[in-house]
Amino acid sequence: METENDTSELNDLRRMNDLLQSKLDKQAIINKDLIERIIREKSGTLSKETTILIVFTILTLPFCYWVFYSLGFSLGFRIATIAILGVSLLMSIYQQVTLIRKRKLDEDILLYAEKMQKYRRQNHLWLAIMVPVLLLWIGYFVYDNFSRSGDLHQAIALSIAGIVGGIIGAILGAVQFKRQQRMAKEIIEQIELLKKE
Amino acid sequence: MENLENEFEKIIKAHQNAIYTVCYMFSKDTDEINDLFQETLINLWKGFQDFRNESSIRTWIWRVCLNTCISSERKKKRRVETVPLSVDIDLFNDDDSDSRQIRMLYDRINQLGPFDRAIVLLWLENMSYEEIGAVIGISAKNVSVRLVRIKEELKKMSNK
Repeated sequence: METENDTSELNDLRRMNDLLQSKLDKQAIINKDLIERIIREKSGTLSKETTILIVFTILTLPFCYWVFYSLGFSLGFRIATIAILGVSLLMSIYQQVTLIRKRKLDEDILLYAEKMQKYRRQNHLWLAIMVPVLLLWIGYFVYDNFSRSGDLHQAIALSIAGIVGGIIGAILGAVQFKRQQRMAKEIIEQIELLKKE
Repeated sequence: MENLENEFEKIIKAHQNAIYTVCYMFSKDTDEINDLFQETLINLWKGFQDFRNESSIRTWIWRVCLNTCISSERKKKRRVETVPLSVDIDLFNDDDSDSRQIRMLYDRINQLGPFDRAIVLLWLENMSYEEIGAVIGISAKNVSVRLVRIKEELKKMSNK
């Protein structure tokens, strides 16, 4: 073990770590139940959450189509809605499968972090594309709503509801996008710093 | 298969303190340590069956553990199927003098970025600069330079 960087600050850390290790030495930590649970854990390509999302979206597709059909929206609008939902679903599946297949946790930390950043950038790009698509869809929704409805008050009410929902969704999407960008930027800066020295 | 399971259990028990320490340093409460610890073990088990001795077992365990902790999106998902660990200490809340010292360690290390945190933890594990470099993916010289910078940061923290 190298010692030339041992200074009081690092020595302090070492002393405190020794206390931590002596506490942990008195603990069993791992038990038989835990090991059995770990070994039984099923390895799948998709996470449980993604599977639920896929099932939910698949059920939502015909439901959305039926709702807009019942309300008298045009065929073009219905097809556009299903197309957007369908493409979003396929993209989500693709991103999840790619991320899980490309994850190699036994790679060195830097290489792994760089790979994960690359896949996250693809996700961010998708989010950046979807927010304006959503805004366009809301515009189409309002247009189609006024075109098909004989009742002006109903059309206004439905349009307001759609616009408010869409704007909330767009804001949440934009906030999420900014947060992910900020986190990715911090990680990238640290990776560059480590590689530079 | 049973031999593999026994071998896995033996290896994990030999490194359980190190894994727990890393999970502690990347968590905010005891439940998170629990979640991260079990997520790490699951990832180790999945990789163990394909482990080809391309690196030492210690390097491999540290890589999987650190990659799991650094990249874990545990804020989004909380495991509901975790088994309680056999630990009767609460490093976040115990009030004896050793626990307070340990929390000082936590506070200092937590102020470092994730990669610097990883380097410090590996250094505290008494790994050589070459071994630390092999886990992180940088040269031994870079490790040395990084540790100097970390020391400077820690000095600034203690002067505040």
